[in-house]
Amino acid sequence: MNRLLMVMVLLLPASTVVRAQEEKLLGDGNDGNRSMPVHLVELLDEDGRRIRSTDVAPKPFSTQQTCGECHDYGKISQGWHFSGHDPHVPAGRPGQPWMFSDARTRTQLPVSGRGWMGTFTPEQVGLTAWDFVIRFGSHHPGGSYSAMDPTEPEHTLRQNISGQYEINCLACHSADPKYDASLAALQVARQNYRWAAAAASGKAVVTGTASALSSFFDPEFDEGGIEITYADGVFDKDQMVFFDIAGKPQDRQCYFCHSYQDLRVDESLEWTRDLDVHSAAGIGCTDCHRNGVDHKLLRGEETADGRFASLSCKGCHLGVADEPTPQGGRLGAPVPRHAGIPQIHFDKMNCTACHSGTWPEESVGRWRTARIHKLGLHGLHKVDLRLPHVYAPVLLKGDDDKIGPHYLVWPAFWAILDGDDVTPIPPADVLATASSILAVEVEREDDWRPLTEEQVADVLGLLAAGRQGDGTVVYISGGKLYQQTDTGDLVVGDHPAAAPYAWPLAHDVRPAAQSLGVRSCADCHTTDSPFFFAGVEMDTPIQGDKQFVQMVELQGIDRFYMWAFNASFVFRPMLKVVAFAACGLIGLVLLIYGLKALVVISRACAQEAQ
Amino acid sequence: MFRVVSLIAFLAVFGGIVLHHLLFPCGSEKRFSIGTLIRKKVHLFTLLFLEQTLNWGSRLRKLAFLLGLLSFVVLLLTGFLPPLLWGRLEGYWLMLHATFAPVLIASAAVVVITGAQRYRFVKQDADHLAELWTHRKARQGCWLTDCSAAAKVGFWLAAALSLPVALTMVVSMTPLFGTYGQEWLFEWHRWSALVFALVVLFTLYVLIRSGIRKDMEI
Repeated sequence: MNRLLMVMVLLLPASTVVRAQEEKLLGDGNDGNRSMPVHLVELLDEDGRRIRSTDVAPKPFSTQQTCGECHDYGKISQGWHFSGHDPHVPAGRPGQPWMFSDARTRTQLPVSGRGWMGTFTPEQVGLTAWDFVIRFGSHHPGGSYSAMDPTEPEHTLRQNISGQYEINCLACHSADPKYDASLAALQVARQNYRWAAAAASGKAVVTGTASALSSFFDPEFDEGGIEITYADGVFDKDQMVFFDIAGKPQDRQCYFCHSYQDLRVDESLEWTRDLDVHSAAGIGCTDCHRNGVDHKLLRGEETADGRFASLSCKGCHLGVADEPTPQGGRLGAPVPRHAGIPQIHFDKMNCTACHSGTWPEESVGRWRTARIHKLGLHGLHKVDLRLPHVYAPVLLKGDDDKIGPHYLVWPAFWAILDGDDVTPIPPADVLATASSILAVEVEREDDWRPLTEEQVADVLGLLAAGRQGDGTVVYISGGKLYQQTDTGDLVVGDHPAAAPYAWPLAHDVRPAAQSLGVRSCADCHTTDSPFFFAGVEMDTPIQGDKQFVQMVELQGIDRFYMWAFNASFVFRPMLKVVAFAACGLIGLVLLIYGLKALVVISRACAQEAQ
Repeated sequence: MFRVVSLIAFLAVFGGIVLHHLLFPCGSEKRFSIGTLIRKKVHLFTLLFLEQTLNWGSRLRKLAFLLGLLSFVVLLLTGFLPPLLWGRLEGYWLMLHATFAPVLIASAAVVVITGAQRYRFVKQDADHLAELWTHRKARQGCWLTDCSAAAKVGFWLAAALSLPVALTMVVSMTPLFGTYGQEWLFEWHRWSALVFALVVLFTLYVLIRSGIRKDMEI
C-alpha cells in the first residue's frame, strides 16, 4: 500500500506537467458560442504584478502577461507576423521583405530572416536585432526581433531602459477607435518599447524618450525617465480594465502595415481610388486571411491542405476539385463564367494576373508600401520617403510558376564577389571607408543621390584597398554588377544577385468588369500589349540614360515567341470565319448525303416489304 | 488517362497496319528484296503526284487532299507529341498547331464537297458489307480493307469527326462557354481529335493500298 502511494506521489508532478501542456488557456478554446467575450481584465506588468489605479508609479501593462493570462503567447509567437527571425519556421512563399535603404551609400537591400531567394538576413547586412527594431519597428507588431535578447553589451544596457517590444496584440485586435498605431510607432522611434502598446491603446499617456537617456540610466531608481499615466476611468471599482477587442481584426488595423500607394495617382486625387472589391462588398481582410491559435494566417494560396483550399481565390469562387461536398461560393462568392477564356490561362496565370492591382500600362509605375515607406505616421515623425523605389504591378512568374502581379525592387549594394557568391558589405562599413566620395553633401532630397561610373570605380578602389581576404569588391545596381579590372577599368556585367526581388501583389482586386480580357483577347494579346511588353525601369542611382526591361523578359518567356503569338491574333477572326464556314459546308454535305441515304434505305425497305 | 489511351491507340493502329500489311501484301512479287522495297517507296511517292488524266475538279480535290494531308501530319505531330512526351501543348508547338488547324479544316471541306459524290455508297458496297456480315471472304486481299466500302466508311467517318474536332476549339474562342464549358470543350477536342486521327490513319492506309493495287492492275 505504501509502495503504491509512493508511486502515485512520484507520478503526480509528471501528470500535472502533461496536463498543463495539454490544457488550453481560457481564450484558446471555443465552446461554440459565437458571441464575443467581454475583455474585462486585470492589467499585469512585465513581471506579472497587477497594476492598479492607486499605484504611485504605475508601470505599463505587458501584453505577454495580460493577454497571456488567457491566450497561449508561446503558440501565438509562432505566427507569421512574429516568427520572421526564426529559421526553424517554414519560410512560405516569398513575401514583402524589409527594405534596408540608405541614400548615402546608394543602397537598397531586401532583408528578411526567412531566407527567401534574393533577400539577405539582417546579420548579412550588419544589423543586430536591436538595430532591426530601430530601423523597421514603426510598422512591426512586436515580438520576433523586437523580443530577442541583445548580443551587444551596449544594446543590453539600452534594453534595460527600453524594455522589450512584446507582441503588440492590440495592433491587430484592438477595436477601440482610440487605438493609435502611429503613436505606437512614435514610442518605438523613441525606443520606449516597454510602453508602446500601452501608449497606443488610448488608455494611458506616456512621457519621456528612452533613446535620449544615458545608457547608465537606472529605471528603478533614477528620476526623469519614462512615465506613464493611466487615463481617468480606465480602471473600474474592482481595478479591472475593459478592452474593446475584435477577435477578427478590423481592416483598418491591417491597413496600417498593409497599405500601398500608387504614385501615379496624385495625392489630392487619392479619394478617387476604389477599395478592393471584396472590401467594398463588406468582406474584411480576415474573412479570407484567417488563422487559428497559432496565428499562421492563410495567405490565399491554393494550399495542398484541402481543409483550407476553399479560402483561396479559386477555392472560394470555383470550389475545390475532388472534395466530397461543394466548397465554392463561400461568403456568397459569385462563380465566374470566364466566358471565352481558354483553359490554358488558368494553368499559366494566377487569378490575380487579370483581377488584381491596377490595369497594366505602357510602363510600370512606382508605388509605396506602408511597411517600406513608413506610410501612416502622423505628427512630428511623419515622413515622406521616396526611396526605395518599388515598382508595381509587374506581371511575373511567381513561386508557383504562374504569372501574377508583383511588387519589384532592384537591389543596390556594395558587396564581395567570391566565386559566384555575393556577400553584401554592411553599408556602415562602406560609409566609413568611402565617406569622402559617398557622403558628399548634395541638395537634400529623399531620392537617389546620383552616382557616376567614375565614383563607383573610386569607391570600389577604396573598398578593395581597405580589405583583406578572397573575393572582389563589386557594386550591384540596376540589374548589373560593376567591378574593376586590374587596370582600374570598370566593367559591367550580369549576375544572378543583381536580379530584381519581387513579391506577389494580391490586392486591390478589381471588379470583374475591370478584369483583363473583359473586352477581348486584345487586352493582352497584341504586339505591344502592356501585359507582356510594358517597360520596367532598371532602377539605379548611376547616371545615364534610363534603362528599361520588358515584362516578357522578366517573365522568362522568349520575346519573339510572345510577339509572334500575339501577332497571330490578327488572324484569329479569319480563323473563326474559315473554321465555321468549313464546318458549315461539311455539315451541309453530311446532311444532304445522309438524307439521300435515308431515302435509298427507306425505298429499299419499302420494296422488300412489297 | 488521355496520354495512356492515346499511346495505346496509336501503337495499336500502327502495329495493326504493319501486321495487316505483312499478312495481306498488295502484290505477289518478292516483298523484301532491296529492289522491291525501293520500288514500293517510289511508288508510294508517286501517289502524291497529280495524274495527267485528272480534270480540273479532280485536280482541285487532290491538291486540297495533299494540303490537308500535310496539315494533318503537322497537327498529328504537334497535337500528340507534346502531350505524349512532356505533357503539354504550348509555345511554338501550339502556334504551329493553331496555324495549320484552319488549313486542315478548309482542305477537309473542299475534299468532302468534291469527293462526296465519289464516296457515296452504292449497291456494290452494300453487297460487300453483306458479305462481311456473312463472313464470306473477298476474292483477293483482305475482305476488310481491300474493297471500296472501307475507304468510303473512313471518308464519311472522318468527315463527321472533323466537326467536333474543329468546333470544340473554335467555339471555345467565342464567349459562349465559361470556365467549366471550356474545360469540357478541351476534353472533347482532344478525345475527338484522337478518334479522328485514328480514322484518318486507317483511311489513308486503305487509300494507299487501293492506289497501289489499282496501279498494279494497270
